[in-house]
Amino acid sequence: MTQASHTTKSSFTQPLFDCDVHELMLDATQLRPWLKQPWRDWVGHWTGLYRSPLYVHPLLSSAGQEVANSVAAGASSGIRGVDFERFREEHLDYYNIRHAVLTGFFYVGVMRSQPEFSIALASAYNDWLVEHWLSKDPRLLGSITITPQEPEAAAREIDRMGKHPQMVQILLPLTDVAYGEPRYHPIYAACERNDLRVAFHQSHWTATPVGLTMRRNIEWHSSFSLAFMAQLISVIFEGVMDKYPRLRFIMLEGGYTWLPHMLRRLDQHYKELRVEVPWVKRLPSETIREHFRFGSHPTEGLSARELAMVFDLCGSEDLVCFASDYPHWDGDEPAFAFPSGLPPELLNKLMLTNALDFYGLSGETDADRA
Amino acid sequence: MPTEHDVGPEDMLKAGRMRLLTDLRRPVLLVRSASGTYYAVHPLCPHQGVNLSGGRLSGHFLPSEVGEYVYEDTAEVVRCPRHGYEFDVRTGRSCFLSDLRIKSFPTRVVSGRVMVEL
Repeated sequence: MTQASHTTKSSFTQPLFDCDVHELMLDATQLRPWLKQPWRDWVGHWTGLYRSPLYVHPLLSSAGQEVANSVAAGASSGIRGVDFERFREEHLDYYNIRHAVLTGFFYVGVMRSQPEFSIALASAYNDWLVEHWLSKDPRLLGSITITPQEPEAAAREIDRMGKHPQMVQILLPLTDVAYGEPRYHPIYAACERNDLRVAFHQSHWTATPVGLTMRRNIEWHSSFSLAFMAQLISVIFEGVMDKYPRLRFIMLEGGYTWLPHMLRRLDQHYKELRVEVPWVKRLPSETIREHFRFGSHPTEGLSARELAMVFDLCGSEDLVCFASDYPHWDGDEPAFAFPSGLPPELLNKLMLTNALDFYGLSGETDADRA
Repeated sequence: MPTEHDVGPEDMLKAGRMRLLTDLRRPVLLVRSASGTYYAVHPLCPHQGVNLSGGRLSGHFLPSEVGEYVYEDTAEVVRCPRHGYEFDVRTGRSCFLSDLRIKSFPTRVVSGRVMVEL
């Protein structure tokens, strides 16, 4: 929220569908009610929550560090991202938000050891999410946390949680694996049979094209879009869309201005090298336009004219959906997520209807129907 | 026509602190540098409109050789709490982009009172 604290509504009244809101836990021991032993004891010793082994955030303002700092300072309420009431006041109600998709910050998908523990954590987190967030507001939609490193267990968790009416997708944290590989296909099969979307999101274990680490946080952070491109390439050419034709993907926090390059590059290679992947039956650009969407965050400062050029080169205005990344340090204020001067119809697509169509939802709220 | 406003006594801020003033004809971020000098700037970041009063007043890192960190601890740079944009409160200019700035207002101390011209 950028205005004075006494202001309860933003002057930016455009209805919104926010595809990327991070709910945070104060402490992983909050999961204990849903954990059996030994996990109930183990979680008290687990140091994986919000702790990146790779980098210190140079502004000391990553969401995880802010939570840790607040806890160290003795705060237990009012923490941005942790406190639901604060979130409702300064984001859901302050802006005209019809739906917000919770995407968590709980990347047990990066754990490479003690698989039973990671599976239990994922399951407990989903139950915690329902009780502490989804049940509090019908505008909220959920992402199922899974352990993709254990695909069969992940599929079981998808079947367990997929029936919840507010769960709309699973969340796959970008790591150093290629998610198109067949070992992950049970996850996609489970998503298809539960009519769930698949969301890719950057994690604190996202690999760059030259490996897991680079020398500096700024180098690593600047490489995220490349990591998303790699996943897109993997999913397309491993035939995921040909095997599961009803699946739809959304890529969050990877940007989208690289799409004109990627669509053409993939199509050109398909024309030349299709013999290697005969199971891929359509031009990649056609598949992407139909089955993939991309969160608007992070904005890259394009003018209205430049944005129109991007969409023209993509051959579609349907590909991009507003994503705030609340409450992260680099999150985008809704009024600044797209350049000023866009035609109102286009702004409404980017802010609302592209996401409604992607998730197969109505834009109506209880208030609209009252 | 700009007019000078009495915003408080000279000791209203400790060195290295800042305060958002909302009872003037326009909101102002009042800053006191490490040397004790007062400055006043527009409080909203031109990037995405985030209020700078929630950020940090600090020094900043000077352009340096590769691998060197040269910190100038003057408390004359306000850093946006969201995306980290840095502005020199003496001029309102961005520390890294010549065409980006926040408005700065002439400020002085007269007879123990902080005066801001708006």
